[in-house]
Amino acid sequence: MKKHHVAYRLATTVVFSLLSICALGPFVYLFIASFVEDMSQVFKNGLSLKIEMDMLSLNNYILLFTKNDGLYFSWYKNSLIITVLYTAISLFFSSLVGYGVTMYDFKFKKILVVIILSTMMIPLEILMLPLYREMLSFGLLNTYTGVVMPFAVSAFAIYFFMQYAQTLPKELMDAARVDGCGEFRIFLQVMVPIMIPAFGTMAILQAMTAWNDFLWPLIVMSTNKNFTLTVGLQTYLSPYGNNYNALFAGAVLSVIPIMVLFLANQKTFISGLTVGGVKG
Amino acid sequence: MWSGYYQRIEGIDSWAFVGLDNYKRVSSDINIKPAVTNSILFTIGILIVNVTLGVLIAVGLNNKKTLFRNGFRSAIYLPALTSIVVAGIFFRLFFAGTETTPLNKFMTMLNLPTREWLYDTKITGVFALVVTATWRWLGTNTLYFLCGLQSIPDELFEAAEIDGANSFQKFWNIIIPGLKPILIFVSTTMVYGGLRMFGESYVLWPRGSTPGGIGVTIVLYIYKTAFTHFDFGYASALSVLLFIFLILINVLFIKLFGIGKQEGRA
Repeated sequence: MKKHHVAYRLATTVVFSLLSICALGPFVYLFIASFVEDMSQVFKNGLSLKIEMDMLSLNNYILLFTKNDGLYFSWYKNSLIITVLYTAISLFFSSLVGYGVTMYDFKFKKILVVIILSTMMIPLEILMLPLYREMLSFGLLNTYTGVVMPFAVSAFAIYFFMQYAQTLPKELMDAARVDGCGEFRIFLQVMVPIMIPAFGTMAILQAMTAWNDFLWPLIVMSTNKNFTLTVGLQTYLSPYGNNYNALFAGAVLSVIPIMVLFLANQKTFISGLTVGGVKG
Repeated sequence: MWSGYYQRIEGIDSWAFVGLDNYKRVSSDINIKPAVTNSILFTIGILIVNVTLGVLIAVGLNNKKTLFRNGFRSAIYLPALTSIVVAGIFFRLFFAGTETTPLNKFMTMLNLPTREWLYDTKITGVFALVVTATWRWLGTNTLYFLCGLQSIPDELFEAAEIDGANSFQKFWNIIIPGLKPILIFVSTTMVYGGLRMFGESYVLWPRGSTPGGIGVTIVLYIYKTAFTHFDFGYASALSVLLFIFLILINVLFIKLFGIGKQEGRA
């Protein structure tokens, strides 16, 4: 029996170590290669590049920051602004809708909920053309609003808050009403504090979505200066050759914020992901 | 939706009603076939790989005898945090044609010819897409399965233990039925996500420069039709067809597995 355990542990540890290498290898490679200035080495040796200390320097990062008058900083700034806007708008509206739909009874509520949830079935890829035209006629192309507005309030987030609001005690509402508290204040001062965990989870998920979003900003943003990080970095990849010096350094820096967010909130992250998708 | 019935003449705001012409063009468009084939092959690939690997990894991570479970779980999940562009930068090098990439070295070890994976055949193209997508998607799917496994009551395993069931019997008779809702959920998101995949293709072949139909997908083709060839009408017609196709698939899933699994996203 004991022997059996040892064999199992050995086998799984080996298999999972290999899987982890597959998962983490690309990060390690990008990180190390971002310090190699001589990219011909990277091309010649591909992924089996042998690293020697004197090959390493910070020049790729310096190049990245100075290239095109620090265009990279504009991308970073754009991504940050869009992520913050997106997350804030998403949390504010989807919590209100999710809470309202769950706690109050009104006419056509069922139909409304069905309509909201059925929008989850229509993917962005189908909507990109009509939405592009819509943004065009609103004059929102190439603006932050154009990137953030169409998708910030997602049915997914509303559904998430609906689930959470079902656990809220309705008696608290009555108690607050007796004390002469308005409905909006009940939400803000009584319910929001109880829903803090839900806000935390959703904030992380939405921030990650916005930070990594690619297709929609690619369509909306048309000038270099307005690109987000994903769209901007992608311009260094081209069919005619790639600017790997700037790419590697830029990719490494673009991953860092989301990594920090994840490592600092691992538990919330993982519970949030699974709560949203699957209930038991 | 109406724009599927219009042909762009000049400038994005001029419209002319062309009836069903845009829809008729679909049947004679030779560029459609590779896009549809690639998307479907990719979807099948991603579905099989993510479901089998996802379940197996989750079972391993769920077993209390496994060492470093939290560490491995985090490691396997980390790629899910990155954007497709970061993945694309790495995997363009990974699938490069030089002899020294790990993949080509492995081929040499097996006495097989090395390849320029991204520019060889449509199949190697789809293979590259599946690998790239799996790197980012597998972690999340594994978490879903892990979550499902944790909801299977321990008593079932204890009872099986008493009845003398072996590991395989436990897997087949307890784990698989217990995971059924999650299996349906993950399969649905994989099929949905697979058919609408765009980013992987756009970064592996930069700016959608897919040579001879290698690596082009339905959504990439729609995107190129609209934003490279500025043929909004035709692109809209294609979007409508894709939408109908997705709805049909959805109805099929609901018919096969029951309703109520529409929450979540890819």
